Amino acid sequence: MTDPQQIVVIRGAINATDALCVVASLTGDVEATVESEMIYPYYCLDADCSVPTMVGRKQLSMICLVDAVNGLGATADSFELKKETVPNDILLTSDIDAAEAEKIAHRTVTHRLGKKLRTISTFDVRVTPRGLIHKRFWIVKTSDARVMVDSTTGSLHPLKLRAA
Amino acid sequence: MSGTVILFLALYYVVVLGIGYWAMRHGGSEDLEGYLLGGRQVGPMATALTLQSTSMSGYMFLGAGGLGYTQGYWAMWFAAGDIGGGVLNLSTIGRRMRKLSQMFGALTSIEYLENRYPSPAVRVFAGVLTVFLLGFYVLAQLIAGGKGMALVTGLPYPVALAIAVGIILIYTFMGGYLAVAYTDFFQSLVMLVGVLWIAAAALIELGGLTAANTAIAEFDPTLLSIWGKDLGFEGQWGVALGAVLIFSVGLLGWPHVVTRHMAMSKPATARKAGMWATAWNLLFVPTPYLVGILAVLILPELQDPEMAIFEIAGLLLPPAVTGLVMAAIMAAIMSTADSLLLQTGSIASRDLYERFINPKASERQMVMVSRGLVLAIAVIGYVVALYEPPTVFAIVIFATSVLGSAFLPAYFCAVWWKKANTAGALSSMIVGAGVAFAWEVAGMVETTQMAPMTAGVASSITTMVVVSLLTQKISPVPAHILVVMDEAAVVGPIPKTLIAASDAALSPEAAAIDAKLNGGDGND
Amino acid sequence: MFGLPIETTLLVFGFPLFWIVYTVVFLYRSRHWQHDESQQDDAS
Repeated sequence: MTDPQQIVVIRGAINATDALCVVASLTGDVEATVESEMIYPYYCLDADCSVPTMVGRKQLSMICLVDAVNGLGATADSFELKKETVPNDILLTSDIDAAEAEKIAHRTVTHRLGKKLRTISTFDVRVTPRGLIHKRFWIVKTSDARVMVDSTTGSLHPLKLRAA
Repeated sequence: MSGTVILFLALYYVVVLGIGYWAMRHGGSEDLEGYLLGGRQVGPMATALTLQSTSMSGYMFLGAGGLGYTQGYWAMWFAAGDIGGGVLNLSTIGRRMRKLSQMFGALTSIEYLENRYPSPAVRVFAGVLTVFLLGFYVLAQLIAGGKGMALVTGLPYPVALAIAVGIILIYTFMGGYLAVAYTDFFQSLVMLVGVLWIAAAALIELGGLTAANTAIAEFDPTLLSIWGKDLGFEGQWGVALGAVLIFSVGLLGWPHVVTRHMAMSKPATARKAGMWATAWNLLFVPTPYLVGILAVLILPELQDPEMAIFEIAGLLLPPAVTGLVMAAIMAAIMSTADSLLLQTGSIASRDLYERFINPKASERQMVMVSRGLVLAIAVIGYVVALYEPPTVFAIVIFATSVLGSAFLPAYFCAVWWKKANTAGALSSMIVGAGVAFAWEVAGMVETTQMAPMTAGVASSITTMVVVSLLTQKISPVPAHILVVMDEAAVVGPIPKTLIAASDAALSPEAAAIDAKLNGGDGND
Repeated sequence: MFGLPIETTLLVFGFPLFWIVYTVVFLYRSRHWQHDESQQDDAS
């Protein structure tokens, strides 16, 4: 039916049962079920930069994740990874290539540093790609809603409700 | 000003720099990283306070005071709108704008406009207009800083102005060194305690508010009316309306206000911020105007009305307190100028240079463009401030009127009206800016008894509606934008608790997953 | 009030009163916006 693929997934603290609990407690719907899961791709890049301070330049590292579907960049906390084999039908495909992701990461980090430190500087940002990683989202169905739950943070977002 | 004042002024800067230095030195890299990643942040209360004070400083201390001094209680028309500006914007646009900008991945307010109204013309016009008018607003801060510095140090204005400009440039080019970001909140607090102290001192000097107003009634009763000195604005509701609109909705023209909305991550934050904004504004918005009004009695022979608040401080406060408060005020003015220059540089380098002139621009080149523009504004600003300085009030009102008229419909309709299209937005921006500008320059206020802000907003809103409706076929709103705007695109009700608990930051992922679940290919 | 003419009193106290009411109404109507999060606000 669908060829499974081996991919790298962020090890999430929230499992299916936890996701169900989060949604059920919010909506009070005891009939809520975990309908499925979706695996979302991100480019993972390490960003090294140097920041000017009164005590000289400080070297900093941070992780930048670039959404591989729509190219949105964001800085991220560190995480653990593990290898998994997942079927294609729950895997979203990337629309952005690695070169673009690098540019996006560079821009995201530079912009953020400039805003936070209120300085006009290049910050000597160097970006090192680490490849494509994935995050699992649990899809929880209640009687009147469909919700996705981030397996790393437990944050949620409603989805469109269509007859399955 | 006395030696004590200058001593405490210097002492204040030493302490602030010391705090910054200590924080930098003893804060490990993890702390800095945490700060940069936005992990540990000050709460909505402090944010609201800091934003209020650092975005208004030159206007607050010179413009507002000067207006109160010259026009009496007429000035309160401006306070009337200003008090509610924060909660008004947060309650009507805040949440939705955050979601929309999140979906677009827009980093600047100008980019956001082009994302919502796709067209290079939108970006060019919005970018150029904003840079031009931000330059004016910077000029206002330079004048405020220069005059303040001259008063405190006793140096001649050209020298004081040069020092003020120099300090502002240091802030902007080397903000990291000064750890400006760490001490903003503290400085805001000092400054705002200061303004309350000045007001209290003035009231005590005059024997209370009722006694003061009675005295003003004997001095010049028209100052107590809502129509200004000699009832100059009597019956001019169009002008009064403009005053109310300026700092309530007019603020939407300012990039730093818009980006603030773009940055609100959770609905609960916007809610709390709205509450704190009103609380702070109630306390601090009317106060500078009031001090200006009271100054009429205490310093009736003031040469420069815009120096009213500074002069009162020097006269009534203990010298040490004057030094500290003046230092905080000056710091806030520099900080405001710094923020404005950073935005101007960012818009010029990203929204104009990288987008249109050199798409392959390296970060280094963009930094050079930013810095070049900042330098140019500083130099031009210095020259203008030196030879023909307009009043801070006039500059800020003019700039805010043009920007507010240009951008209000564009930002508001971006989230609320699905029919608002590119043609409508672009024409409303051009018409709004043009009308407000022409109104001011051609002196239409007297003949029409309507403020540039009123005329500008009326014409831009009309243009947006008329043009959008007329051009729906030739300039349709792209489907992907409609999808994003459609918050309620579900079959069946979603519990409010669910909506409230959702994380706007996940909107892009949700859209992609929606597409995959319902369309099958995971794209778009 | 405070030695001010009636219109001025309305201007000086009326608008602030309006905004207080507005804010309270807003807070009430948005009470569902409460969410127990760890205050990670990106406000710049």
